Amino acid sequence: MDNNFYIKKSAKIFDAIVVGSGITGGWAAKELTEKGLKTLMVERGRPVEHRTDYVGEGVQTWKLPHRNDMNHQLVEDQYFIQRQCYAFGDTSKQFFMNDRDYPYSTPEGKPFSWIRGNQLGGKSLLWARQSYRLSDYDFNANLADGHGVDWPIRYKDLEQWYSHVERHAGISGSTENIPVLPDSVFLPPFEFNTVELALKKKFEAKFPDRKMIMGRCAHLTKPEPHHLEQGRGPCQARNECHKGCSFGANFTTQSSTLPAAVKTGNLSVATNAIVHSVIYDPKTNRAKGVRIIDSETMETREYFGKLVFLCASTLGTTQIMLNSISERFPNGIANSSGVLGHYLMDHLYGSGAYGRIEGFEDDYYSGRRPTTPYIPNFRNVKEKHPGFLRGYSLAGAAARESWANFAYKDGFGADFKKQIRNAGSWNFSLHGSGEMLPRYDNQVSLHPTLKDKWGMPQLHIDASFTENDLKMNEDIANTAAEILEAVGAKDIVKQVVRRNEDRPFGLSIHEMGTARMGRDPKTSVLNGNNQTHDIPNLFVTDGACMTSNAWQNPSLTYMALTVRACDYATKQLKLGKV
Amino acid sequence: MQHNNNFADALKVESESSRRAALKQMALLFGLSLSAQSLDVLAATVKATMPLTTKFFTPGQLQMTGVIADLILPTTDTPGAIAVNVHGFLDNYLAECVSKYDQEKFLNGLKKINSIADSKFHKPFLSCTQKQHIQLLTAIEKSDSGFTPDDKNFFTQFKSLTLFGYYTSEVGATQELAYLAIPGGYQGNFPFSNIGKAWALNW
Repeated sequence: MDNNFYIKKSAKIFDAIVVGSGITGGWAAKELTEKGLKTLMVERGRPVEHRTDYVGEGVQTWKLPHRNDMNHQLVEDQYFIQRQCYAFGDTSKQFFMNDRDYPYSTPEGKPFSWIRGNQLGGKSLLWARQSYRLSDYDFNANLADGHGVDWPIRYKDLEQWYSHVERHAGISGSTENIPVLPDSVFLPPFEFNTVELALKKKFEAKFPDRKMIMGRCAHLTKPEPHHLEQGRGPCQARNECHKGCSFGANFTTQSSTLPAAVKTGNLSVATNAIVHSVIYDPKTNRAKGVRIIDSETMETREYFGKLVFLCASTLGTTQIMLNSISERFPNGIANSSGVLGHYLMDHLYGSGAYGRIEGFEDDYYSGRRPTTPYIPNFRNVKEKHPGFLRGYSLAGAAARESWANFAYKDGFGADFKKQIRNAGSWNFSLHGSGEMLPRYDNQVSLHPTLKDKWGMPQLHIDASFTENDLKMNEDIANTAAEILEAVGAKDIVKQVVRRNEDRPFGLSIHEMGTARMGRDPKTSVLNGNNQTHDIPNLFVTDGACMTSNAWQNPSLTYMALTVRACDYATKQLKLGKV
Repeated sequence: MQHNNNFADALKVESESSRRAALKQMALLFGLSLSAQSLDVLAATVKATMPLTTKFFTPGQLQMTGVIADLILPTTDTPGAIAVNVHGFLDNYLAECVSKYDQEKFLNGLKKINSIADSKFHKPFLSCTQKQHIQLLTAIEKSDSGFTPDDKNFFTQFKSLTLFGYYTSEVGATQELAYLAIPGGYQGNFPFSNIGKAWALNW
């Protein structure tokens, strides 16, 4: 990369500014630069170079000082929230934000776990890569039961854009023709193991309205020529993606969208640049650019652009918008509706069940599959459930117990060691990912007094579960247990999230909805093109835009919405309409 | 406990040439009877990883931790817990990676084992025979002979840390179990007998 790639000061007026470099920022940069727009990507964190900066990748446990665990005091002081993330460890900590430096507040008794990346690539380096399309069941959901406002788009509006991102990113999965889960453009799926195949057969025979499919994920199972041209290779089944993948086998900004954007010659990047606010010009009613704080020098600077895309993560974008105050927008830019910061949603995780599967002692697997079998939603599809609205998916795998499970079994000595060597019995688990209703009361706002060390007002996050959520959690656990029983599992254990404290809001890392799309400027921030109703050249395409939660992992939808918005914005720019 | 000084000396060994002798000495201290062959297994695999000083345990606690860890995972056709320095790992791990509360719980657990050894056999744990050690660990796992369910929880924690220390070590991961850093893809239909051992990295 040449010297003009990373910039600090610039008086230039870019065609577009993209705030954030994660999944949506990377896509926005790729699409806009490929359409010929001189684009500046602004990232709060440090640069991370593909391969070079994956310092934890492939390091053997015995070469780590604490075998991938970490110093207790360091974690207590600096990673007391991030530690809750399943992907957090000594080999991946460099891709997580430091909790000490970026504080936020929550009300007593309403914990919220805000898991954040803080580097070029953002959380694209950490995401779980599960990739699913929404269907019209989802786009119709709010209209059908009256919770939230109606989505301003339908599946047909997004379909070609899903295909567009899937081809480039590489999504593995199987064609299934399931109405609630439209098929993607697929690379081959990962294999089921022998036990899963046996259970799938029993499950589908007992529940004819349900299907067990292989989890769809952004991994190159069999790269196509255009993936190889990007410098990406096939997935090695290490399942250590969050340490960084030098094979470029999983979709990240670094492996996929950034190289494409760089190739155009139209991209510049400003790192260590914390966006303070969007600059608003009341004369033209346009966003002129962004004000940033240099995280290293504390200097403030301004960058200018004809289009501004906010892709800074749901809450990051919301924080910037709330902090962009003007006479016209005293409560945050493009917030004439007053709904900015409201309708925060996350997915309901943590409830489910697991059990033991007898037999199959000479069956095993080789490799660590980065996805699991998946049961798409069947609740409230044809029949209305009496207890709750909306639906959920179930995901889980069959695996043999490993050495770590044996601490919880009685025994010690040579026989015990031999049992561990011989691998344990098979377990099968199913856990839910449930949809939440959009609620005005689940809200983020700027704290009236508290600021971080760069002077940014802190976010105050006030969110909690409702009756609908808790009833769904109960049903997830009961249904998972019922399925396990039906396929012959023994010693079934149910797990139910019953309170905020059992599993904090936010920890599913699917926070979304705080600058929602809608048809009516009085009740939504964005229109059907992810354009703010109030300001024609200001776009939001990260999770903040979501009108409803759906039950699918959302990143693929964020990608599709982003590329669709880029297409629209570029056309409008060329027509002189923004 | 008279073993302490000798034990501390045994830990100070660094040079390649004296490793075998030190292992023998350490084995004696731990009350292990090692064949010449298993000494070869040890000498071939144990690099100079013995801690020079302890960070968390007293020498007596370190020794007791080593003995218990080795009762859980003894030397068989592969080295056991002591040979891969699980006690040294735990000394560092408990000093660095756990809360004060958990540190105290661990030491109290060791104390409890000593006190039951004292009431049952009238001597501290380290002076007991291997048969008595096994009786004590069997009792703690059953929460009887004066051990409570809390003590059993301590032992579960102890086992968990021992297994962690052992199976994330080079010997535990690559000799005792099968280690495949880069599988090259996922095979769902793979007979266990193809490898004959559990994977060190399971998932």
